[in-house]
Amino acid sequence: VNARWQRLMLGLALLAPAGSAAAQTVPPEPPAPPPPASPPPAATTPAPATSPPAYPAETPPPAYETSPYDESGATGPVPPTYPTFQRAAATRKGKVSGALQWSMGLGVGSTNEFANDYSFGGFAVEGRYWVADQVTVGLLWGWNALHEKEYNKTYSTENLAITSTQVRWIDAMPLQLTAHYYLELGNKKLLPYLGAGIGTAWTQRQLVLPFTSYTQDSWHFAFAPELGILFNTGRGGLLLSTRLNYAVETDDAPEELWFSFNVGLMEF
Amino acid sequence: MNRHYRPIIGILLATSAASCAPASFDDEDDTDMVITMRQPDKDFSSYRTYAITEPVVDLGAYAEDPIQVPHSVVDPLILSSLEQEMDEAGYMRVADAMADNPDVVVTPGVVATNNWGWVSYYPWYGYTGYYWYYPPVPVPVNTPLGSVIITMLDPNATMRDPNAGQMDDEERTLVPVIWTGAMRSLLYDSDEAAAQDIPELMDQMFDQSPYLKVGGAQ
Repeated sequence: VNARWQRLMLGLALLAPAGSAAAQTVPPEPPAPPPPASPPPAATTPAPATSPPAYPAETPPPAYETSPYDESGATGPVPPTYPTFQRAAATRKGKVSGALQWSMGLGVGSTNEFANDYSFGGFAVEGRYWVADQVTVGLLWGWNALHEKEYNKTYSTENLAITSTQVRWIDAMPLQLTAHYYLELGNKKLLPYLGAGIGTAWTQRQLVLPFTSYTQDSWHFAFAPELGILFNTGRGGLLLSTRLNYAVETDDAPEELWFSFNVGLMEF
Repeated sequence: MNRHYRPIIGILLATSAASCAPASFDDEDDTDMVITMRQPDKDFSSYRTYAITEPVVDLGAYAEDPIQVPHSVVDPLILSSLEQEMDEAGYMRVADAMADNPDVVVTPGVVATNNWGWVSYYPWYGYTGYYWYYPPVPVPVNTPLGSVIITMLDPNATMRDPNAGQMDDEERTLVPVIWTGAMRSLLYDSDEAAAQDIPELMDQMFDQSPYLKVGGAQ
């Protein structure tokens, strides 16, 4: 009988779940059989006898808790919250946006005196890196062609004068680092912004006469304040902006000042 | 870039490129031109009298592909308008360029040339709603241009030819050209057009040379 009792106790000890009351009720006598190679966890991590049944580790606890925003102190179930699409798309930080713009130009001051037509010829290519949700830094490369055709115009030097039809051109090509700050208004689809570019601009003045032409070109230090607005459609948007481009006078060329009016697409 | 934007990008690029078509010389008025040159820093304030050499010199021998100038139409216009401008500038005309020893001698010349080029166009373009879709046909066209060249000499400021004696032993005396005016326009196909354009361009020639006025307007 003693041998049968010992086998029964050993079987219960092996089959009992960890922390079970059965494991706690094993009497010290009769002497235990030789210990197994790895003792069962029930023998080393005893649990209180009143513990509820254990859940698997991957099972989340039920969402029954008191809402931190519930000032009434009442307890009860709170609907779970989930991340929304709007919250996920709100941040632009770290992204790079590319923009392609059709750029129209109009000279100001002495630039306008040389070539005063409103020009539809021009473009700008721009990359902007979002260092914050409302701030970008980037690089801009553009081109504006300003021109004018004038009849019976006299070009003169000290000893030479030529009266003829004149075609006058100014090609201007800014290459600048840019920074922009965007204002987030109530409607997040509209992003007005202000910014500036600073860098260089290559300009070329060309006076074309019926039988000859005169050309003057130079690299300038240049900068350009900018106002614009982005119509955000989610993945991209329409861009409208105007830049006042100023190329500082050099030893080889006069200053150039012109507006560029830009319509383009920008990818977010 | 979202594929929905591709058509818009295409429109942007095409519009930008099409807008870059250069302003060019493409109508009749573009052929009109007046050029004046003076001897560098020449002072005309001391000149008072002038003579005009006649007849008007035909310079066709010095031009490539010359055409016949209607001298009977243009020569009287050139001479009369030149005299009028010199008078208005304050000069007094003398009859004989050799005997009357004028301060300046004015020599008019004229030449006409063919100027061939190519023109491409769409036949019947826009004709009552029909449009020509085939490539335009390049057609050779000629723009006959006439030029009048006025040369002003100072017969009293002769100088010895610095090259004399190198080619031969002949001693030559040079008369300096102190002013040159040239005007160019379409060769006139009617007397009325010539009567209007020649005096107008001659007037421009003197307007852009204010230093020619007697008494000296620099």
